[in-house]
Amino acid sequence: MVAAVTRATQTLLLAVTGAVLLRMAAGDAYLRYVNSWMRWPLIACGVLLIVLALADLWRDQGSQDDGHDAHVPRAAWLLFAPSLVFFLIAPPALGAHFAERAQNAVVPIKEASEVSLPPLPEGDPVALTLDDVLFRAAYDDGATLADRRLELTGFVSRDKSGTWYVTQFGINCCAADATVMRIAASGVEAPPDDQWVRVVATHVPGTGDGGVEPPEVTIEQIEPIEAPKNQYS
Amino acid sequence: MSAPTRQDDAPTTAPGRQVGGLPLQVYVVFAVLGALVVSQQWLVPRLDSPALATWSTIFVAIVVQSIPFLVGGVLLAGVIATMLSEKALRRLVPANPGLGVPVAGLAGVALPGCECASVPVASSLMRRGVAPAVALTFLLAAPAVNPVVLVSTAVAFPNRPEIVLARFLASLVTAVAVGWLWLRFAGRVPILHRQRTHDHGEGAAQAFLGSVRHDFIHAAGFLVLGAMIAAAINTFVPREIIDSVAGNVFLAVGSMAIFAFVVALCSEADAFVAASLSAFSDTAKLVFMVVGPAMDVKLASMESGQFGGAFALRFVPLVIVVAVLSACGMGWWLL
Repeated sequence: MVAAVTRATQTLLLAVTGAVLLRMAAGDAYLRYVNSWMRWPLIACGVLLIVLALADLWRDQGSQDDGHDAHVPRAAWLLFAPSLVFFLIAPPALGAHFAERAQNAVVPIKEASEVSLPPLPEGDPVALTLDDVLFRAAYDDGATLADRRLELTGFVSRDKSGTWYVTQFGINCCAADATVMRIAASGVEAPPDDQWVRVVATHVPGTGDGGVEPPEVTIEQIEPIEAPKNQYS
Repeated sequence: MSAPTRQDDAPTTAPGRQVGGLPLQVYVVFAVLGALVVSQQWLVPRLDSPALATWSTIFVAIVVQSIPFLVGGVLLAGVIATMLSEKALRRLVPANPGLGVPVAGLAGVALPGCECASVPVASSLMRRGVAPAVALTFLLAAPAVNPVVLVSTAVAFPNRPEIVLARFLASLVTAVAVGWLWLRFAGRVPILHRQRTHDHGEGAAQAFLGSVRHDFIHAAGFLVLGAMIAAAINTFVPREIIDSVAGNVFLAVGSMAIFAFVVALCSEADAFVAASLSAFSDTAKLVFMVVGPAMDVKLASMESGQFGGAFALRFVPLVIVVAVLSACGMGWWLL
């Protein structure tokens, strides 16, 4: 039998939850779970929850009226769970384990209309985002990528057949709606899963056409890098 | 603002022994939390498994994403509960519930919020005497037809305005149809945890804070429960099970409805996920986007907390069936 949540424990619940939200938003931790524009709403919520807890302490000075509205559902205990999970497991940003199961990012293909992509910017190698590569590879057999050295960043993930990918997640609201962008890599030995890498590579012509299968690249250079602050795009 | 008149019965109603005016429980909880945080260095490496990490990331993400919307909802509910006068409320909501239902459906356009915000708002409207059917229509419409959701749908489906229109109409029809059905066949909704009226001379600010705190604590536990289930589905059920049924029309519609219910996405984000389900027909995607904001596992959990299990057992299936029919009808007509 679960004990009823007393009023004092409710106050503690509010304070702990508020403090955890502030702790997340004060550093970069919140970027592992939600989009960057959530920072200020999270700070506002954290402050409000702490104000609610403080207002109650102040009120309780004059009254020991704990039976007042202590009858809250026992499910309220569960509100401790996210705070504890945050501190004890310290959930990382989504990584290779989820990459194999997540939805592929959609490449908006408009079949009827003629698309003329602008040529790649100057530079050798030229730095591109993964969704840019997916998009360009999906049209005209990747004509705009032909004969160029591309600089890509992402983390390492693998599929069941052992192919490894330069990978990133894109999120819209939070990590629950993450879609995965993967580019199959060959030419070098795969680093361990979840290692962030910067690679210089060339697109294998014809791969990734139509946006169904992931495009492939042949890697010339690879260097391990630190994971960026915001690991989602 | 203190309540000395009630002090005499406090010891009998407060569970647990009293230590210096506070029940023992809070000290025990505080000690447990402290012990866990201190042992964090030792615990973290022992809880290191990829599946658990993925589950906890998605779980924390859903909770962190939802709490600001829930807080927005309980603030608005607090305004309705303590600051809106009976007269103003009566002017806003038509007296005839039959007319009030479509008005509430359209009023949803004006409240850009996630679905977690609308449960406390609907509950607060009912407490203030708004007909349950009208409040439930608002509950269903607000997260589904507001401008933020429609714009995000337009972004997720570029050059497909008919999908945005179909989503708007199907969600509105769902909300209004459920409202009218509830009015005709069910009527009453039990309101559990009715707030005590603040009769001991509390100021308006104190009453407002009390209402916000009450609503937040009541809803948040159920939100967390729903997030736990949704994260588990996301992490542990193989995606192939969902993909394998995409080919069959009936299976596709049914599985999209179930998928929308169990993954419990924010209504502002679900269009992007729907767009990425490229194996499915447009009608099946529409079902996903109409069912999701109206009903999902975290909403069902919050509603059973707010209005009771018996209510949820009738309301949840009703909403899902109406939403699926409405989305299929719109899909057949517009897509």
